[in-house]
Amino acid sequence: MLLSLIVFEVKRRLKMLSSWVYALVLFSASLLMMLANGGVFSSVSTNSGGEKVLANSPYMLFNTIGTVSLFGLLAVAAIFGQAAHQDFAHNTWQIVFTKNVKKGPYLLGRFFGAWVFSAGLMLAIAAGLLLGTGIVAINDINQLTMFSPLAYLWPFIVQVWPMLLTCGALFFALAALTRRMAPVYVGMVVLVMGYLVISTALQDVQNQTLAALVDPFGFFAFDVTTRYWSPAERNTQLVGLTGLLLANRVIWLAVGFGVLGLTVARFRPMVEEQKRAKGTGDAEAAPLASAPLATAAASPTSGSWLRTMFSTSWLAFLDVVRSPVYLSFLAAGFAFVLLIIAVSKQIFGTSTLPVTYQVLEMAAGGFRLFSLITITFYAGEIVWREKDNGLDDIVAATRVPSWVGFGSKLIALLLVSASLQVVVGASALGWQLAKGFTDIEWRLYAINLSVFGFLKDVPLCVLAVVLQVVINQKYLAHFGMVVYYAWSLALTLLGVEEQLVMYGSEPRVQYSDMNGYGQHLDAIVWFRAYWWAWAALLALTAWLSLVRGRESSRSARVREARRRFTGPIRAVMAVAVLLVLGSGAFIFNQTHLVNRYVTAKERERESARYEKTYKEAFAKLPQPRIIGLDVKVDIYPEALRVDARGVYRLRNKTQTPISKVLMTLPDDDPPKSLTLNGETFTSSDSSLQTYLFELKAPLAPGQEADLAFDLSFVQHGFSHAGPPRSIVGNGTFINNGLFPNIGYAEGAELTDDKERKKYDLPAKERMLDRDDPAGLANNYIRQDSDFITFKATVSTSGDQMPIAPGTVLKEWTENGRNFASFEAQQPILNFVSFLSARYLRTKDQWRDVKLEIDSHPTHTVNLERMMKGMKDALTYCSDNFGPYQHHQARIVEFPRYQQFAQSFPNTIPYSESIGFIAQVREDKPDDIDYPYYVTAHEIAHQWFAHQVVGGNTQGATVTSETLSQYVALMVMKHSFGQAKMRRFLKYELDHYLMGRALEKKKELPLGRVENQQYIHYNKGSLVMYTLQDLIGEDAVNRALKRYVEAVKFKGPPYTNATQLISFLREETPAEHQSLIDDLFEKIVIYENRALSATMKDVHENTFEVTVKVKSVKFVSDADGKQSEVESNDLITVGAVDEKGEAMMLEHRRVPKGESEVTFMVKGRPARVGIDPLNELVDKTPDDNLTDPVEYGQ
Amino acid sequence: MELKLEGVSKKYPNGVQALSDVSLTIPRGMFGLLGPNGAGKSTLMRCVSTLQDFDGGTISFDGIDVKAQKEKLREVLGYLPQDFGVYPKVTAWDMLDHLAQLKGLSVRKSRHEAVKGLLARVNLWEHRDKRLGGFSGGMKQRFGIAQALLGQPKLIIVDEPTAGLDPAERFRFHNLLAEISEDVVVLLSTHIVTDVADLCPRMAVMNGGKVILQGAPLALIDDLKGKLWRKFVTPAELEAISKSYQVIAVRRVAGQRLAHVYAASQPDGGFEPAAPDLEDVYFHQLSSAPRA
Repeated sequence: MLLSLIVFEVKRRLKMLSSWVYALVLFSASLLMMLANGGVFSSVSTNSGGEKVLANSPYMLFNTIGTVSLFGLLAVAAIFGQAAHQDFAHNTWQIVFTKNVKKGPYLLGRFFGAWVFSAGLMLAIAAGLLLGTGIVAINDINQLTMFSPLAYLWPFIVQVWPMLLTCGALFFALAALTRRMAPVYVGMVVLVMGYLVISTALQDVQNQTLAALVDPFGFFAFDVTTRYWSPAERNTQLVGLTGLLLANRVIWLAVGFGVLGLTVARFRPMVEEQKRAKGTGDAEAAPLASAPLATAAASPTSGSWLRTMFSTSWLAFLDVVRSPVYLSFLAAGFAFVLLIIAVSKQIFGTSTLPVTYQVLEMAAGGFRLFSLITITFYAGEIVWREKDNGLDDIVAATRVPSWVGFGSKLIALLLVSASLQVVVGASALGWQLAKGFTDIEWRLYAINLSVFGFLKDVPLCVLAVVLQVVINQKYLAHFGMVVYYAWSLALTLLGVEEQLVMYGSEPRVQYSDMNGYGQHLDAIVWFRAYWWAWAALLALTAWLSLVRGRESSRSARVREARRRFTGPIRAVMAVAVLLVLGSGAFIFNQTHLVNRYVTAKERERESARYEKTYKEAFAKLPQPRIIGLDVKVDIYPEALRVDARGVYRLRNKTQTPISKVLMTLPDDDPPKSLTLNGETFTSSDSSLQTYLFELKAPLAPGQEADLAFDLSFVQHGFSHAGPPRSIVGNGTFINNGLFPNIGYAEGAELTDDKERKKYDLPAKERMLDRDDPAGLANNYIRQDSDFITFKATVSTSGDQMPIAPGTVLKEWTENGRNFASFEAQQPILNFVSFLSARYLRTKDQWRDVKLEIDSHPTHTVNLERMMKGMKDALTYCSDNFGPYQHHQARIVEFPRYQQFAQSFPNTIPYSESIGFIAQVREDKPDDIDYPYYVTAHEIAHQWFAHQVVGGNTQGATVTSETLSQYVALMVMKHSFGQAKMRRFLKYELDHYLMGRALEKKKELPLGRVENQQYIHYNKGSLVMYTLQDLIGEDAVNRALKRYVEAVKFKGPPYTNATQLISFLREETPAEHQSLIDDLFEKIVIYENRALSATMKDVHENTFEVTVKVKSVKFVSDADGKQSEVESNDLITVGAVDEKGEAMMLEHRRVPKGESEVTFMVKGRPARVGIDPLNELVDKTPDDNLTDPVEYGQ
Repeated sequence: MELKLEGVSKKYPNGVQALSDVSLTIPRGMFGLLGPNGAGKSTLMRCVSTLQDFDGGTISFDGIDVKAQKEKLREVLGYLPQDFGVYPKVTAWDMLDHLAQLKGLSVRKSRHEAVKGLLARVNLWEHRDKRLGGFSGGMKQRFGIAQALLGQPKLIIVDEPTAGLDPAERFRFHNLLAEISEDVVVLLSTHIVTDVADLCPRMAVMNGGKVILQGAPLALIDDLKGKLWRKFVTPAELEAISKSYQVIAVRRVAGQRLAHVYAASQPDGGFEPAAPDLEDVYFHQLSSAPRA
């Protein structure tokens, strides 16, 4: 019985066209993913976890199969739902249930039939991947690792098939118990979309173990298990069905069977009794049934038809709003949005204030998928409303003009779309109020939800209705919308950037407190005109082909369209066409002719051309060096223009005369004038923006000359690149990278070896060896300059303040404009910035240094923390490493278009998104005070980068970033206590481990870092913290002080990591010398674990603790292959209290393997173990501590 | 004012010839269209109601060419299709009011009067605030009739209107139709012969897409007078007589088989004369006309 039902179900499915369509879709999706991962479309780089993790590696296969199968679930929901529902749908249930059928076998047969079928269906993914692997192998065998059939099958066994059982049981139960399909679809959408949305948010969640267990699909468990795997491991190892993954599978299989059991128990094979309809209160007296028929004559007018259109759309909209599907979409979307807002937007686990623009952006973003689905789905429901209800004949035979019906459907969908915006607004508002945040900006709510929400979606809604009408088949039209979404995505992936061919697209507008909606709104208006005209054209075309009545053949539709294509329609369509052409031409002119149209692809080509044209002739050619800058910068925020006139003082520091000088100007506009020693350039290349000087009077060795430039940076209309981001209405921030750059810039070369190969360029190393003299001849900040003198006069509009590095000499107002002059009192790096905005200036004083923070007037919450960060870092650095070189220090806020803080000489531009809206709650000890921490890091750069600057070789950033990180850690430690450091170090460890797992080229030891952020920041923190912990902060600072004294303001040759490490080595006691190697010269990874522990109260709340620990040490190579090594290292052991704060820490020699340590703790420890602060690199940092068992009294 | 069909034919894309060369002239008053399932009645009615195009012939009503002037025809049309549905979550009042708007009753007050009057006439007044989803088949049918009468139609087309109505409702419906049919053309299709017999001064019988008979029911019945005979039979007897006579129908009367036989003179073997009714006319036509 059971078996025959299963066979029946599978056979039935195999005969259905839809099954083959599903299989084809899964097959092609996975084929495409394999081709993309295998680099067949070279412009596509899928998010794969690093290029070195190969396309057919077990890791990638698991991910790919998991992702595709998740979308396959959309089809599977229907299969399981229908398996339970078909007897109700076809009204055969009364026949089936009156046969001698037991409900158990009946239901289980149907269920397992669906399961067997969908399990087989999912294998289409493997087929697609296998074909893809073959194609990739032909295309580029280097993209593949050893072929292993098991790697293709394993994800099905571990992930896909169990998932089908659990989710299938859920869908099956929904259909069987409600006897309707709608709940199944709702369940599916909520499950899949909600999961996609939440999973992004869950990445930041503290308790990864819990996340891994509650994830019904098991992706998190997979992720947690493999997240720190090296590329080598990812390429070769199957994920084991153990630990978290096993637990997850067991839990969810149990849930699946539980749901199934419940379904069988609750299912009742008999008639469901209808609830009684409620009676009506009969307020109005009944008219006499025999009264003469008073049906009024019709007298419609155009106006009355308009009213009818609106009332009809309202009726349709009310129907939508009352439908449970709509309500459950909304409820689910609402819940997801709240969850996303709750867990995301955190830096070091510390959240930001729920300011309006941010909450709105998150709500809209989180809701987006639900919006798209709702609009697509309800376009079908609304267009087919009459037909689905059997009312189409009656309505078609009424005298109502066709446009009324068509228009009412469009309006109804627009109403639905508007209602979604209301929900977005409500969830954002709800969140703000729930957080007790009352500084609500209603204006932003109004503009974001209407202009950038509802109105932006109008073309989308029109398309959804148009497809339904034109295709004239509900599900095919839904599919049409999916094709549209996929198409938009594919265009982006294929590197098409032309917005004029992406229906509904427009430049992205990002709101900033400082700069509002920016200065690009005219572009939005033009794009809106263009797409609305398109939408109008589509809508009219759809109306012409609208089917009314029962004739839907092509010839009948053409005949009808001809009849409808009357004078007024032609006129309106002509206007729409003109509008499309006109606005399209205008946009094209702006983005292609007025401004240069540069795509990523083109930039790549240009880089290659630059290298081929100039490398050979200029890379080794002696060039003059910049030794001074004197510039006048005039900022015109209202005109989006900056004029810069100035002089670079150059000197021929070589022993040979220089007659050929190559220069690059990054801006598209040619310079108004550009002269070198009075001579003008002899040739230029406007697309590479290079200028070549062949000097009639060569520069003699030691000779100085002026490079005079007169430049104007101005925004012409609007460009393809999007809104202006650096020269803006309020919050201009540019740096002198826009001024002339001298010589061949190696930094402009293509770095990716795959790309280089495409252009026949040889593979190249990321950086020179750290001791390479050619590299050390330049500093790593700028290769055409050494320390320079600097003078600047900056002006801006009368309501803004002009800012540049250096000491302010004078501030004045002239012709209604504000001026300020700046001078560096000693040489600085050639790295300066110019800013202007309406600032609130907060002043303070540290010793004889004037401090200021120039912030947006409302951004005052964290000013004190920043000021304290400045003072503490200035104190720490000047006390430990030597004097601060400037008389002033300032933090200057700039808009959130870029998210960083950057240290220029005594001037620190600081993004509005970092720190200014941070919410460090006094009552939450876990919150990390990152405004304080980031400020301290940037101030430390005044020593480490601006005094000590490394040469342009490997390891350069150790002397700047890592040391600044060290200072920030130390001031934090002194300010908040060592006990609080664990949380911070854990973040650093986590980011280091993830960073190395995603490494594309090769991981290097810290001492040879090639500007890899996960190394110089995250690993740098761990290394420096361990070092000061083991040899003492004083010893580290002694070494750094001597190092700073030895190398500050020196170069060329510039210092390097070798030199820094040798100073550190000199202060390191003999027994720790090998530690320096481990920290700086190797990639060392530990596997430390506390196995068990006991404790005993030996004396008045003093506990003797014995911990059984296990420690294994590994050394990893550049590809992440690790090998075990002998060890007997000094490692911190200790105890923490309930809050996770350290109670006792001690250094002990811990031998390789298992051993025991015993120590005394004052007070009752909550957890004890090895490396409690997570200073050491350890892939499973959570098992370092264990709960001690107390014995004896 | 009359509805005129001349040589109307319609072939479906799947090859079924639904109508072939149908010509009818339908004057003011009720006109019954009889025929078995699949005879082409509904197709014919949809063609008249502008919902379906026809391949050949013309249909015109009161000077309106239905093929070319669909909009014009819809202005005077009231149509009740054979199968129709309603929005289940909308109340009877709201639905009828909505349909009244679609029929161009733009003035609120008079529209509400009309809706009110019609709901009363079809006996749905007390259910006006009930959602249509909760309506029984008969209530739904009555609602359908109400909507067809909205907006003073001059041409009313009702396809199987009495299906699902109980006798009292049917009676009421007949009265309603009779009342309005004084001034307008009503085309009523049905396979219930007595509907036509009770209501229609003129009628036509369709089968296989063709009109096989048209005329006034009374005259048609008269034609059969003296040619119809009846007899209680056993199955064996029935087989025997159907070989030599045209058996029009076999009815069950009190558990026994009563055969009606058409013959110019009284057949042998216990037959007695029978008084013909419209049903006999109908079955006589169906059994004598060749099937398409």
